[in-house]
Amino acid sequence: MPYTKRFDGRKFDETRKIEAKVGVIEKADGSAYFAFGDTKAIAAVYGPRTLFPQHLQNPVKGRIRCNYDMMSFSVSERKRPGPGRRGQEISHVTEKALEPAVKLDNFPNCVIEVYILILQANAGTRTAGINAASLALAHAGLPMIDLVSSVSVGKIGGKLCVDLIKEEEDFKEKNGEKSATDIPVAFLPRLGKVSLLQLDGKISSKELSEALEMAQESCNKIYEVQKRTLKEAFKEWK
Amino acid sequence: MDRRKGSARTGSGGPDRREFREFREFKEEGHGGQGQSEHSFNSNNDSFEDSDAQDQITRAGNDSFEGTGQGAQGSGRGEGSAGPGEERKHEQREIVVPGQVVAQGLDFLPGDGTMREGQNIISVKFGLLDHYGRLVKVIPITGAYLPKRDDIVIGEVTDITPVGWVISLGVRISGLLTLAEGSREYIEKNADLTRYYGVGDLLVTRVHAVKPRSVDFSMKGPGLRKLDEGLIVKVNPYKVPRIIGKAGSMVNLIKDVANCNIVVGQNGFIWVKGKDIESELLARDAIKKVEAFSHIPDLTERISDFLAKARGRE
Repeated sequence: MPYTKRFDGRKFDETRKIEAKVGVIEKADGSAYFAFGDTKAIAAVYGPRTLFPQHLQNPVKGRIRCNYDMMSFSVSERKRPGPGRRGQEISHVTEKALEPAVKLDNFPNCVIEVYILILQANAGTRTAGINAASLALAHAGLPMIDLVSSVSVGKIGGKLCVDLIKEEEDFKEKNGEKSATDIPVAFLPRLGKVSLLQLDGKISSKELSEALEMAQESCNKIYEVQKRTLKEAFKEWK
Repeated sequence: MDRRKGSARTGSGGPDRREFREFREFKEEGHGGQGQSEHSFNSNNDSFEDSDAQDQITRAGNDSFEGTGQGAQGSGRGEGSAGPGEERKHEQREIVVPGQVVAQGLDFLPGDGTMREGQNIISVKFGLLDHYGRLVKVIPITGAYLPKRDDIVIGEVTDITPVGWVISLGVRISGLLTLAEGSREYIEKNADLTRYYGVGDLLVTRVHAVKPRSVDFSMKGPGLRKLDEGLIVKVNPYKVPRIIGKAGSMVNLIKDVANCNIVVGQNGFIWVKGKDIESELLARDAIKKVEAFSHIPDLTERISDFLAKARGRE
């Protein structure tokens, strides 16, 4: 079945409504909130501080330690809180996605802790988490060469879409066969570099490069939102 | 007297305490030491006006030339230093985000918070853009407190051990105030340490040494003492230079108008003690206002207005 109209009526290259805020957690050194429609993430950054256990320390470079988790009420079936196989994987890829943006060589033997919590989930939680974490890192005053913007692209019933929702991820052909490909991508938008690329499903290489171009375009838009959010974090005099 | 010892303030400064009205203003670190910026700004201003590189600088970069204004001090500078007329309104320094290009061309030098990337200078921090002649730098406005040697901070005693007092700065780093540095008096072996400082006491103390794992404190120095009753206001440590103001202008203003005694710790803890709770709350409101609007130029004047209005209402 061809996918001609998206479930929520968006254009194929349109993301959901984006909302972003920084400074949402008072006790954290840096914090941010980022939402794609119903997918809502908050991120808190602590540190840099000395990394323990000591054998993990690197005398030339700091480390980002990321902790991704979903609130138990974020999905319709209760999610058991705490780290699981999925959470650990996402924490790991998020670390890798954020690392190239932060000047970690300034913090030898140190760790920067990033806690990402998903408040509500409707697909694309890791991308929302990365966007929030990138804002939180900047808000924590850490030296960064670029922000990180992330979005998922996918092929749904033969059609390329940006920022998938749950229904699209679970899209099935008439014969009951699953035909959705989900590709979370993270960019360093200014440098035009990819820092996260995962792929779940099938896609031809030609379509993949097309999908990546769509993702980059969306990431540039997200980047603009992130920049605006940081700049507007300061209020006018009243 | 060692000038570096003066970064916390006490209001009751009699003649003998004159000296520590001086402040260390993050000069070495460039955390927005207003005193220094004023100087370098003035000295470089003229040469910069003549430079043909001026157009290459981002618009808002120009603004910062007037934006260094620290209230009363800032307005004192003549119109002569103003850029093109249309710039007068936007005196605010530009807020930049990591990765933003802040200057182009090899005529500029990257300072703190920036780096060179080919022809461009990019910001690596989230903060306020500042120019000192050819030097471009970004002053961070958010983040965690990192203890530096000789910082005057306000810490809380959280534990007592046989070797000294454990002091927490409200951040993830805590440290030790050893017996040797704990008091000017000689502390006997097996003495009752609670006689000096008990758990929960707040101390104005000096960072004596920063070690990889912890911080050492000292109570030896002028103005270092246990704080008695008062109000603690917590602010972002990066806003502390602004709360102190140029040569203490801001904190002196608040002290005078609110009639309070104020001690500002570099870790963002501020102790306020007034003759009644109203003046303390007024001082707190003013401090919170400075924190929230630290990026706004002519803040001292605005805070002065705010305080005058609040006083009038009472």
